[in-house]
Amino acid sequence: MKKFFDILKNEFKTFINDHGVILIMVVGVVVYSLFYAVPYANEVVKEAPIAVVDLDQTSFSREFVRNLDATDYVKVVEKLPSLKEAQKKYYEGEISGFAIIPKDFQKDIYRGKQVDLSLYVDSAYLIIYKAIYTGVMQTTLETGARVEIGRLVKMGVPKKTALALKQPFQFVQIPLYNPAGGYETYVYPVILMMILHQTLIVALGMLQGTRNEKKIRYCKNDKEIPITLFARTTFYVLLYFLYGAFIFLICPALCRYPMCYNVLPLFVLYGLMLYAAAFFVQVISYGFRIREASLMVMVVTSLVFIFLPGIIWPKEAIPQIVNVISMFIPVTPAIDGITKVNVQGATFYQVLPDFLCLLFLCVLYFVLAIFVTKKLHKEYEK
Amino acid sequence: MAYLDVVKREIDRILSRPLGWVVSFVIPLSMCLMMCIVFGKGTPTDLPIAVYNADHSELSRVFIRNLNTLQSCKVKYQVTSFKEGRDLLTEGKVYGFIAIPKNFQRDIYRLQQPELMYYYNNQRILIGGIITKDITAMLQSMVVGLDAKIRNKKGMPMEAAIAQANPIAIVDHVNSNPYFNYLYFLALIAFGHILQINMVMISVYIIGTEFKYGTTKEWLGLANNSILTAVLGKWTPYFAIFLLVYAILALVYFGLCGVPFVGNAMVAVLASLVFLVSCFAVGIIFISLNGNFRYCLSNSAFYVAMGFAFAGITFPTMSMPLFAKIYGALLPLSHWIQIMLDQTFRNFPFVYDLKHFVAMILFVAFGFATLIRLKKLALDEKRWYQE
Repeated sequence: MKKFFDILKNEFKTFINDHGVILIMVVGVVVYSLFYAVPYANEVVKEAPIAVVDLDQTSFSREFVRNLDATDYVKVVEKLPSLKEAQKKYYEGEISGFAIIPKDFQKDIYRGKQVDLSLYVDSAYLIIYKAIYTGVMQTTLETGARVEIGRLVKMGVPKKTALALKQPFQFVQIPLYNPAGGYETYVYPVILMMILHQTLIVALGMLQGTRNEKKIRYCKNDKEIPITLFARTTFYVLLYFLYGAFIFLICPALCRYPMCYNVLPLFVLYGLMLYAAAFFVQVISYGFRIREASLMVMVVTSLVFIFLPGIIWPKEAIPQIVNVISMFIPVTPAIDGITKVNVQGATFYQVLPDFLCLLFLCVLYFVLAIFVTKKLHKEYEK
Repeated sequence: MAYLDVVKREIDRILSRPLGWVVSFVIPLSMCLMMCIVFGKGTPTDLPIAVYNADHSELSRVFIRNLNTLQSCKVKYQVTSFKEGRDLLTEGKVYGFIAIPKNFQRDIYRLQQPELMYYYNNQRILIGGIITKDITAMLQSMVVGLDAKIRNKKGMPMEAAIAQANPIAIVDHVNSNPYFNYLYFLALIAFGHILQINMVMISVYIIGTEFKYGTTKEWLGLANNSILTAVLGKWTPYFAIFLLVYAILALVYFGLCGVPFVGNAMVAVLASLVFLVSCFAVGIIFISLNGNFRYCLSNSAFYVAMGFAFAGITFPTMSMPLFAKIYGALLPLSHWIQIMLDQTFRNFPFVYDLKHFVAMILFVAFGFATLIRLKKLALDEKRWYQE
């Protein structure tokens, strides 16, 4: 036990004297956590700029444009006389789309003839497309229903009956866990875990890379590898528990990060992820022959790792074989479990598979790490 | 010739240490191909949802049948209680849950507007959005169909009945990415992000190691003390490697994945070449901070690692705060991706992309201007072996 605390203390010294590691594990964690949220700070796309080409120019069409502008989704920034000019504005990037109200819009609707509203939207940006389409859809449906109900009432149908005919049932949509549909709430829980996982991996990879470069043994004799590995890792796990406490306990009160305060399972999953990741990096560090290698190889992996846990992109759409392989990266089961507990309010029992998977990874990588470290020691001696 | 000597020396260095070709070829290529595999399906289909049917009427069964015809979702569980459905949502086994109330059909015919409850996991915006859009559209057409049928029965011709049931139809002239394929769009930005990271870091690496091992003078000497020759010679083999990566990715993306290309191929190729050089130039700017490989590499990694979020594709630039817009503009990636999206999907006239070319060329110009400082550092032996 004394040995364990000695190693822990020594690792603290190593950490405090290595500026590169501090840059990643302290400055990096803090800055990335703050910065990464910045693009999403406005959360949802509201008021996407569009133009309207009103070929009808009646009071009815003008009211339609006003209603369109009143929705949260779009803002009618320009009223243009022709398709050509709308296209020009679109190329210049001033508008994300435009609608064309046909001639005789008002006349045809009152005559009971279906009219076509032409909509040109840039769908390369799917979020903008969705916003504009929803806004236009909502306005046309409301306008259509109003015309219809007015007609029925004129025919002598009671208003209540007319309403029920137009809308036979209420479709009540209840968005859970992220009612406002914010983008930050969507990606942030994933990104925070990814930042913690990746910084841990890169920094520990740098430390082992340095040892490989200078041929410094991991510990004096091979028998001490397990306890040294465990004690050193524990130091970083304790450091990262400070971040965990901030993210899971304090952060939700400060920002809009969703949180269920189901603390115990959260920290169990988080702790297991950290141990598994630390042992995992000790295994792959075999390939890091200079200190900088870890940075050059691991930074770029984050992007692919982000999509594997099935939060941003559904697992159902990923080939099964990739899903199986991805479970060997500690952050995958961790994000799955932590999001379920944190955002969806799952109980420990409901995330048992993720827990078992992480436990398995810890054992697997611990054994492999001991084996790899011994092999490195042999190579140093050559 | 001095230039060829530097090229030859660099090739020897690539062959003697694996890190260079691993980071310039193996890693970017495998990461990009991984993206293609992960997003290979393009659009998620058959996403699991649950239904609680408390009505058991003809109409509720038709409704469930209609749900199953939708491409995006599939009724995987028909649960027997409300709680069971909510638990499935919590456990993440389904993304949506619909509860059909008791007497649903009867209440509709009595014009009592019963409530159909739909719960969905909106934390996963993309998934929730896809199934909600599909279900809503299906319900709307069900309602319009019902309405038109009633009118038709009352003696109105079918065409007029449809017109009155749905007075305004939206004719959707989708300008780009008509298949709503996430692969098309995400793979392109992912390629750019992955390549930008590797190109910038490689550029820092090839010169940084000269400082780290104290060989800058030997390297400059071989180039007759011309920093321009020395840098261009170093770049040449990596330029060739990245061209090979480009070629393979283009084959996979436009060939294997079948992404349609509607714009001007010359513009896209030119943009990609300028992108490559501008990323190399950014690397020069970073290593010229102080010549300390470790320090400069960390800083450059910091700068490019957030590219994906700040290039404004996953989240459109127009909704970003000012700071994020500025950061985005300072990444070559943001400009390259605009040109690529404009050319691949939108067929924009070239003039509208000119500003993005100018921006990328500015990175190159700034990088070349920094060479003067780099030469000064390279001749200073105090910059060697820095920890």
